[in-house]
This record gives sequence, C-alpha cells and structure tokens, in this order.
Amino acid sequence: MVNLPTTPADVLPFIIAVVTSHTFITIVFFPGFIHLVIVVMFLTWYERKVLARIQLRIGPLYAGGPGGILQPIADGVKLIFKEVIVPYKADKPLFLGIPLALVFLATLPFAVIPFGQHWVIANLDVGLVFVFAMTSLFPSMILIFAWASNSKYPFMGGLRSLFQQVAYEIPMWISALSIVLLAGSLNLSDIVNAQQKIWFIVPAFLSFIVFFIASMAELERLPFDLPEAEPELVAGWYTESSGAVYMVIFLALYMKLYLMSSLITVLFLGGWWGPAFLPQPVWFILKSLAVATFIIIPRGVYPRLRVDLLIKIGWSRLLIIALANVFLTVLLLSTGVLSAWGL
Amino acid sequence: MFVVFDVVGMFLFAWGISFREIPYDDSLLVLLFLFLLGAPLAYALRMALRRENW
Amino acid sequence: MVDLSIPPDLTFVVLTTITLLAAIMALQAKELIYGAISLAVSFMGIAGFFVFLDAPYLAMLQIAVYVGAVVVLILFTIMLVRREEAGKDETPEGGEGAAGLWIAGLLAVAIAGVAALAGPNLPTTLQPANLPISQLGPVLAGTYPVPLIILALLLSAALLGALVLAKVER
Repeated sequence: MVNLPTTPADVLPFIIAVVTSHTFITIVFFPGFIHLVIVVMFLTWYERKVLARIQLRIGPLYAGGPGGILQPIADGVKLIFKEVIVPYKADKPLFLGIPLALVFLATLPFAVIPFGQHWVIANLDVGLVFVFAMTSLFPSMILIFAWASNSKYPFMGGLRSLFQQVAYEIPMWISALSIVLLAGSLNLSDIVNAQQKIWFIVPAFLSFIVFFIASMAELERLPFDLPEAEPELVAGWYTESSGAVYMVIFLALYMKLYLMSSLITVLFLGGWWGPAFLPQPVWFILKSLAVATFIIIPRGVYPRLRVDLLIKIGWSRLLIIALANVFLTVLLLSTGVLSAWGL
Repeated sequence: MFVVFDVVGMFLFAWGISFREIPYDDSLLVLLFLFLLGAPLAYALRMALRRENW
Repeated sequence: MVDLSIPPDLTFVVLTTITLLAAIMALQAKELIYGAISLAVSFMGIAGFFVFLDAPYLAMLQIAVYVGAVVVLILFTIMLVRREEAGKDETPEGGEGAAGLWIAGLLAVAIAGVAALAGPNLPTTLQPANLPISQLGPVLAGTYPVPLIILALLLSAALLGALVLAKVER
C-alpha cells in the first residue's frame, strides 16, 4: 500500500506505483480505453471489408498501409473537419451532449467483462445485470436525441428504434436467464469459469440463437435496419448529425457492437478458455471478432424486415423460444444430465 | 407489457442464481409464477394472431 | 495499491444533493423533456443509494426498470402529446413555495417525533444488510411464496387490463 504523497520527493514513486498498478493498466490499456478505441476503429474497417467481399468488391484500399487499414483514421479526420450543423430550433445542449453520453454508456459495461482470468477491471457480483441495466438505458437516450433534433425524420426513426430495441430486450434477458441457471451466478468471471469443460452454447443452443438475433436487433443492424431505413428515413435517428456529432455516434454504435460480441463470447462461447498456446485474452478477442463477423455478414445478405413482422418476431417467436430454453435448462439441470461437465 | 416483463426478468435473475443451491421443489413455485404470467401473454398472442395486426 | 477510499459521509452528501436537485428540477423545469431527464437522474441517484446500502442487485433492478422503462413511458407520453411546441410550462401562481415549505416542515416534525419516540433503539451507524444476492432467490421462493404468487397474479392482471383496454379502443 502506497500512501498519498506528502512531500515532493514522494511524488515520483507514487506516480510509478499508480501507473503500474493492475487497476490502472486494465482501465487504460487493456481491456481499457486504448484497446477499445483500437478495436472499434478496426471494426469499422473490418465491416467495410467484409461487406465489400460479400458484394463482390474490394472495400477500402487506398488509405495507407496494406488493404487500406488506416481508413478509419482518415474517416475520423474528415469527420472532425466537417461543419457541425445544429438544426433550427433544435435543443442544442441535448443534441451535443447525448452522443457523448451514448459513447460513455456503451463503454461503461466493458468494465465488467472479463478478457482473461485476471483481466477484469471490476469484478462485480452483479456483472450481468449491470450490463443489461446499461443497455436498457440506450433506447431512452436515443429517443431524447431524436426528439432534440426537432425534425420529422429523426423523430420517427427514434420512435421505431425505441420500439425495436425495447421489444428485443426481453428475449435477450430471458435467454441470458438460461445461462444464469447453468452457471449459478451473475458474476461474469464465474460464468466464464463454469464453462471450463463445455461451452454454454451446447446446452443452451436455443438461447444462443435467440440472444444472437436479439443483439442484432439491439444494434440496429440488418435485417433489423428499419430505424435506419436508408431509402425511407435517410438515416433514422441520427439523420441530423453531421461532422463530429456523427463520429461520436458512430463510435458509440461500433462500441456497442463490440460489447455485444464480447457478451456473447462470455455467455455462450466460453470466454477466454482455449488451448494454451495462445494467451487467454487473445482467445477472447478472436472469439469476439468471430461473433462480430457473423453479426456483420447478414447486413450484406438479408433484406430488411417489415415493422410488424419485426415486432411479431420479437414478442411471439423469440420470447417463446427463450422461455422454452429456460424450461429445458431447468429440466436438464434437475435431472442431472449435465453433471458430466461439472454443471 | 415491456415494463411488466422488465420487472419479471429481474426477479427471474434472482431466482436463476439460487436455482442450483436450493432443493428443486422450491423452484416449482417460480415455475408456477411463470405459468401465471404466461396466460396473459398467450391471450395477447392469440388476439394478435386473430387481428393480424400487432 | 494506493489507498483512495472515499469517506462514506461524503458519498452520502453528494448522492443526496444530486438526487434532491434532480427531483426539484424535474418538477420545476420549464421544458417537459428536461423534467423527464432530471427525473431519470434522480432515479439514478436512488440507485446510487441502493449501492451505498450494500444492495447492488436492487440498484441494477432500479436502473433497468425505472430509468429504462418508466422514463421511456414518460418520454413517450410527453412527445406524443406535445408534438407541436417544445412544451413549455406556464408559470404557476406564487403560492407553491409556501405550500412546499409547510409540507417540508410537517414532515420534519413527524420524523423527529417518531425518532424521539423510538428513543434509544435507533441505529446510529450504518449496518449493511447481510443478504448477498445468492440468498435473495431462496428467500423469495422459500420464505415468501405467497407474496410471490400474489405478485404474479397482480402482474397478470395488469397485463390483461392493458390488453383489454387496447382492445376496447379499436
């Protein structure tokens, strides 16, 4: 334990102790800010490449380095220099403040996601519901932002987005409930530890499907693209954002994508367990990226869902399947079928 | 409907944690709880199917 | 590790200030949307209190249900009802401040009376409730099965009522 510096001679050891402390490293470097920023930037490039290959073209190629990998930096620079247009009679503090809050909200749950056996920032006992509580704040903030833009298109997009995200949160929670039943804890590290012998995707396969589809809906990705609906609503709830505001929202969206992918990896794909020739966090990142790939691919493949079909699928099909999985899990656990894998 | 299921979900999480540690008979109550909630849900779904309009 | 623990009193004061300020702003805000946002902030403050009282699960429940759902409903109502203008509140008459002070005074007297009557049995230090989350479930299902079923019936009634109302409107 190092005490706060009382004399000037104490300052340097104090700084060194802080910088090398485990907490500081996890918050700032890995899996903290720097790692998140790099991954999010990588994801934007990655998505464009994947979509391009699906659509039989090449994608970003020119922005320096092999395969245009500096493209996100070019995008960022361009967006910063664009003029930020605040719509007439729009609510300025809300309009400028909410995107920042969205990024904050998308980044915060990473504090509880374990990237490795000792790579967690905050090992909360209620980790899982913490993540769900944070994600449930998104729809209201999007609605406020859409309203604050004071024009028709964003507002309608915001309403649709709210409806959609809200409808798909419940199946997500119920399918996560199956995981909680299997693991016996809400602590994300415990959930990963319980998957040592078998990944939860096997006993909770239905839940995995539900959770995967529900997260695609939460992220507003095709085929759940209605709030964006390019031919209809221009760009949905962020139509009026330009320049730096758009960049911040963009960041928040891709941060959420990474968040959902990591969450799926933790809950269903065994977190950081993997053969020992690669360090644990590397396994985690690889798995998360694989999940992200499968979230990105449908964007280039499927058509958009109609709004009534969207809501119907959420409430009737997905919810029922998730509930069925809960009952199935209860059955499996109580009859001791899964005891071979330590469950 | 969302609010109701929100609260329900939270209660179920609490149950989920303790599921493996309590005797299995106690969990039957929670399953009864779920069934009781499922009745209005089924009713809603049937109405929606009939009207073909959510 | 550096010892950076914040004294609990400071946390309490900060939380109280935030929550109360947000609640007051929620009532007094000229634009309804700001009022709704302040309401959300005050709910978060309450959740902070729950964390402070060693009940983190309840805090998450609070955030997810209140800030997630209830605030959404309120926002919905505000936006769909007052779509045309920014929704400005008219200035109320001046009697409200005095009424507020009266009520606050009465409440203070009541609480002080109860505290005086309870006498030396009042807890003076903060005692954390010893109910870790893993025991919350068995307590719910084991010790309190009847309230649980009543709760289920209540929620079902609320659902059915909402459905019936929606059906009547068509």
